[in-house]
Amino acid sequence: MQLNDIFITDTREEYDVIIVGSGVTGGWAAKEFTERGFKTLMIERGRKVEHRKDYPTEGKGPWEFPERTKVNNLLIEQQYKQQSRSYAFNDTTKHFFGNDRDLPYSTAEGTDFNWIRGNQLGGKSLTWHRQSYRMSEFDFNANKADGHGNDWPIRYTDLKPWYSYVEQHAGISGNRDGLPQLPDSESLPPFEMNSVEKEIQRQFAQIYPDRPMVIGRCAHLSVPTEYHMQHGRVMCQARDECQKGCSFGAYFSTQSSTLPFAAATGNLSIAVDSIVHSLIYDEATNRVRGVRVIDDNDLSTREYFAKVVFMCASTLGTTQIMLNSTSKAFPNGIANSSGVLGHYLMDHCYNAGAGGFVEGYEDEYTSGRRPTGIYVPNFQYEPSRYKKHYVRGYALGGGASRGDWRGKAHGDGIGADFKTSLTRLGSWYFGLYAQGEMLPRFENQVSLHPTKKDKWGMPQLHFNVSWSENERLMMEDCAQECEGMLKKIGVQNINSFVSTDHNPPGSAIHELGTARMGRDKKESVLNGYNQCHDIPNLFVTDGASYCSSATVNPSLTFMALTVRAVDYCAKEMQQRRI
Amino acid sequence: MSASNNNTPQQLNERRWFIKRLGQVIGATGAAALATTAGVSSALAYTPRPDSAAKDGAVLTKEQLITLRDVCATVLPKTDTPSAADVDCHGFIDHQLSQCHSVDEQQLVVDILEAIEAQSEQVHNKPFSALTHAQQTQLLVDLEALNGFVASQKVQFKFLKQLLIFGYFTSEIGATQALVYQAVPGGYKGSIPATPSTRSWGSLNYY
Ligand SMILES: Cc1cc2nc3c(=O)[nH]c(=O)nc-3n(C[C@H](O)[C@H](O)[C@H](O)COP(=O)(O)OP(=O)(O)OC[C@H]3O[C@@H](n4cnc5c(N)ncnc54)[C@H](O)[C@@H]3O)c2cc1C
Repeated sequence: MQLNDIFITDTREEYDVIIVGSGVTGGWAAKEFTERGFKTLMIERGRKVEHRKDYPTEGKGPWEFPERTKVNNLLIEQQYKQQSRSYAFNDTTKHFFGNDRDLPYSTAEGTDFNWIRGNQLGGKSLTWHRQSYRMSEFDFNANKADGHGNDWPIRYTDLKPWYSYVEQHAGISGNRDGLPQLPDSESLPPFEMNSVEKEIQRQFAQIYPDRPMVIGRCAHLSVPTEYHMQHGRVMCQARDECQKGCSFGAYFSTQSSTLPFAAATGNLSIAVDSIVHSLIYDEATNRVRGVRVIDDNDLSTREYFAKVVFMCASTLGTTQIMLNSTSKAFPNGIANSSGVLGHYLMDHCYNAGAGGFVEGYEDEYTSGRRPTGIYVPNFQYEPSRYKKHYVRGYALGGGASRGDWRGKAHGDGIGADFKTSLTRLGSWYFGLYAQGEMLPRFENQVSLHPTKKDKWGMPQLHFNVSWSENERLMMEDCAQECEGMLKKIGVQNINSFVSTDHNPPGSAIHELGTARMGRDKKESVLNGYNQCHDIPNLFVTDGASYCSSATVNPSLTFMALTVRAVDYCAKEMQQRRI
Repeated sequence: MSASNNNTPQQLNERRWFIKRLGQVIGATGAAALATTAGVSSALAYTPRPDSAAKDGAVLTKEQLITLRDVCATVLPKTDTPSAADVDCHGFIDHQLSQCHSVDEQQLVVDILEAIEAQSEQVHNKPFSALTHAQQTQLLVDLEALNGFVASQKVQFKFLKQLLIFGYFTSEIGATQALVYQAVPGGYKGSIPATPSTRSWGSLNYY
């Protein structure tokens, strides 16, 4: 089916389902609903991005960019001030990042927040780092176990079959490590560790039996299955330039993995350049009827209607729309009788680590750019394993690699020998980097700015979010632990760092928690199926639904939550309960 | 090679670079913030030219560009691969300064180029470009050894030198001839043999 046939602008049709957003979660919701025969409209604020066709920078060498992949600082100053703080933002990827001039936001005095965005068809599924881990039974039990945050209304066993389901389709590479704190995925073969990593893995296993080191699991077709290849996705070529888009379809994105399936059903329509302003709510029936949309280009307004609305606009996009949907029944945002909408905003805290040089292995190098690193899952995953002075814990990411000209450029040297030395391999370096849990706190809030609006007339988001003492103590401890671990295995010339003051919340790009689930409708927005307590035909399946951040990267869990919610909603619709 | 000696500023810089790279492995946003971009400027898009030192550039004068061209040819001279001047690193640096760097950083480069000229006049009574290749090399070696130069000038020079090295290894010749370029590796291998003469990959995920 030609993608062009499914793009619509004006329509009088009442759809079965509207999905707001086309990123990781919106793509999954679209696939699942359309495959079950529901007429589905996906609404996306950004432009159309077609697989392969719209990856203009893919495969280009640095010399093909005037600033050799760096970005003009006038452009940064005027349009990408926040986005440029992301490691992944550069001249080869900037077209897949939001524009800060058009999408401004504010922060409370004395606070800061990094809101990194991707506003196009495919959302941040195009630019994500693809690290994919299941949450564990300990993670879902964490709030209950230590009393921070509200109890998740679901447990690992509720999500387990749905993890398997999304993993088989998306393709997750990883080893089956058999760890209770990091349940195995239905995985494709793992990427290989290099020799330095293998040796360190062996040493850690001896010295730190509670801190197993595994290869990073990622949404890449390390070895595609027949199913993947039938659908036009082939083996990962280890370019690790994924954020430009991948014509091999080798990593999971909306474009490579979910959208083609949804489009093939004939049940999908897509409205791009359509900014959802608010939900249309019918007080008499207590149902949402559709959405109001502002056209990205000419600022005209239009409406779309459906029996059910799924909010998949990313945690903060969804929250903005819901807060902006007010009525007599819901003066403070739709489905917000609890008053928690916008509160309990979380991210992960990636603000500590250590690294140093490893002697030897000079006769070895690596080939290809591995799209993942090594991973030490959280080893403080239940209260009995907590440190005394703070709660919860952190996972560690990292890896070993050999130095090259980028590091050697700092050294002394002039002339031919120096030039030759720059082209040669440097020492091995190994490092560990914190991926810490952030506690859910009521004070960490995003709200609508009372007066400031964007160019479409949408109230801007206003952030009041800070790291708490718990995150600060955790990062300090993590830096010390990393340094200690590296010392024990003989790593040389170690440097550790803590950057909590430098990198504000938002920096891990894992926004979570602003419309949390819960059993009690007085303290949560959603039930255990991502359905609003207040309004039965409104669902939120992105990260807004989280109760606790855990330490693992969240998108795989977003996928599982979304497909589970669709399954539930579809059954409810068939039973005519919605 | 052991790196267990004391921490010189260069080692600290190298280490900071490794930490940034580590951040890229796990997708940590703040890591990139180590590279600052302050100040604003604008100019036209840049394509390498054979004659960049023939007239004034966007930031540097014609005279400064001539000095810079010869600094490029001295730091990374022609060997079995072309020199940094052959691939127009001097033109690139002028362009990059105008596009991606603050006025203060632009001034660092102007200052060190003038200091190099001044030193050349003082020691040899000739402009840098009129020196023999050996004299040019010695002068820059002296700069890094702080013979006739002060520490703040070395900092300026290091900034320029990094830009020069970046320009060289991100040029097509630098990335594909001086280094080995693997556009589509076809998969990852954790261990391949290496010798002291193995060249590193010029194809990278982030530059
Ligand atoms: C550089 C980077 C690295 C990352 N690395 C990882 C990783 O390794 N592992 C991991 O798990 N996660 C990672 N993430 C996070 C991951 O990308 C997100 O968790 C995921 O994309 C969220 O899915 P989503 O569907 O909720 O939102 P998105 O994918 O952001 O999609 C939301 C869509 O909704 C649209 N939208 C928003 N507002 C409106 C509106 N008002 N009207 C209409 N449409 C709207 C947006 O334009 C967007 O297309 C990373 C993100 C980035 C940017």
